[in-house]
Amino acid sequence: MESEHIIIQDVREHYERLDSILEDYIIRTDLKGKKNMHFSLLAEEAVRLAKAIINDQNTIEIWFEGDNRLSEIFIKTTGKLNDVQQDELISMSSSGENDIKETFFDIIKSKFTGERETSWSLADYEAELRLKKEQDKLSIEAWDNLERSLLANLATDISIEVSDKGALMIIAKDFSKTATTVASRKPVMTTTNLIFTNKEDSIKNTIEKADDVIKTLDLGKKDALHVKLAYEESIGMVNNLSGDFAASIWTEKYKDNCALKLKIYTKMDLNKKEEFIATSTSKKNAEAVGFMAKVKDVVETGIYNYENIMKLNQKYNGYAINYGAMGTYINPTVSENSALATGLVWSMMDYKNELRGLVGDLETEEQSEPWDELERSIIANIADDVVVGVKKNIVNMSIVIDMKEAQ
Amino acid sequence: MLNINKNVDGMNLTFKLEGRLDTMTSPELEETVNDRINNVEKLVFDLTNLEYISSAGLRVLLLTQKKMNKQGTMLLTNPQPEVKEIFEVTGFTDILNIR
Repeated sequence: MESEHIIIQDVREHYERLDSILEDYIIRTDLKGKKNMHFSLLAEEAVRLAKAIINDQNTIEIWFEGDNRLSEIFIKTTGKLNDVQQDELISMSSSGENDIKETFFDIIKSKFTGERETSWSLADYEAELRLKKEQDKLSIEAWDNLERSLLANLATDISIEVSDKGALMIIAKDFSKTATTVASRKPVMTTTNLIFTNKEDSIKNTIEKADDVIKTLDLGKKDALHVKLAYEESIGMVNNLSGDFAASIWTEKYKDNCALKLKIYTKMDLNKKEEFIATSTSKKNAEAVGFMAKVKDVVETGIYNYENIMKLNQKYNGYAINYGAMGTYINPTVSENSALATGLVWSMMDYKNELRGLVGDLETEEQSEPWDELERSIIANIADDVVVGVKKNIVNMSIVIDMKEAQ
Repeated sequence: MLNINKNVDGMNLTFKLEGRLDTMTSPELEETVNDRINNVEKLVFDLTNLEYISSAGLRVLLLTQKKMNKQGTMLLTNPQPEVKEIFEVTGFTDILNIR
């Protein structure tokens, strides 16, 4: 759902109205307890920070979109921002970059004008705050970054698009168990990161090295076996991806569970990407067989074929979110409408719940195949959740495994 | 909405906070605290019924701690898990006395 939009100049003056729109959104999306508190806090901090950067003279438009599983805060400002304001805003982005979608003409223009020098640096700002804290840890100036710190700690993703026409800030909060497990807590330990490609030798070496990595987690026999299986399944999936990929894989250990993290990168140029889009389109009717093949399908479709994402959402019950960073070169009209620039988050838990809801209605063998497939899948049996996020040319996958044995 | 209940016992002062400490309610707490803390040696904020705290509220607590360091002690008691989490992610657990 989408909330009412509000345009504000002074935060305190319009706070009650903003709060009432937020409350209405929270009731309608059924965000309760901690979800309610986190989303309200994100909204308040985002508005405070945006106003502090943009300054009190300019107005900002705010609204909320999403549901109980994933909600987003939109903050839009019109009018050109100066270089310092732009850099301060961009520093909030999860990617660390301006997430605006470049058109072909933007790229040509930048070839002639070159990169602009940075006017404001997050590293310098943080160094300045550290220095102030050393001098007086209770000074208000030393805690100037409170809004920024809360946003960075509680948001799942922050996208910032800055252009000559203004700026759009999108703060996403994913309320799935996986996101809260692996995004808002510090791991007890993080293993060595194994970097590999989807070439046969590299795959084989990585699977071998995974044994040594898993030993460092100091898990019980059964838990270690589950993590090992997750490594094999994930590495195997990368092996089956079409095209050239590099990936990194590591595990974060938490108090009661482990999260195996897989990051897949592709550096495809425009021609190569178009080639893959054509390939992907030609086989769009081919059904993915097996649960990990479905995950692979999400990954490939997310990277290669922007246009099919919405179809995939319907097919696998994924959630479309306005990360505003995909399909940059595929469809130039996207840059005119950020709502179309869709990224993808897919969760096994949601998929499972959806299938569970359908199970009674599935009459034929063919219809019940996805559920049988899920029950047969190794990953589906050992993982508490699998979440796949696709943004630009990077895929992030988290496999959360509950630890069954005492640590 | 924030309810501030005061309890004075000699040089000890306790504020029981109930509701939300946010952009709108923080100035009210700041004003109440500033009006009352002269000559107080032990200041306690009872957070049992505080449901929400934002950066605006954290700044009031920071300012108050700074003032109390010159004249006595300040203690925050019984924060709810959600509020405690905010103290933790911002690093306030390192600079404030929270029990």
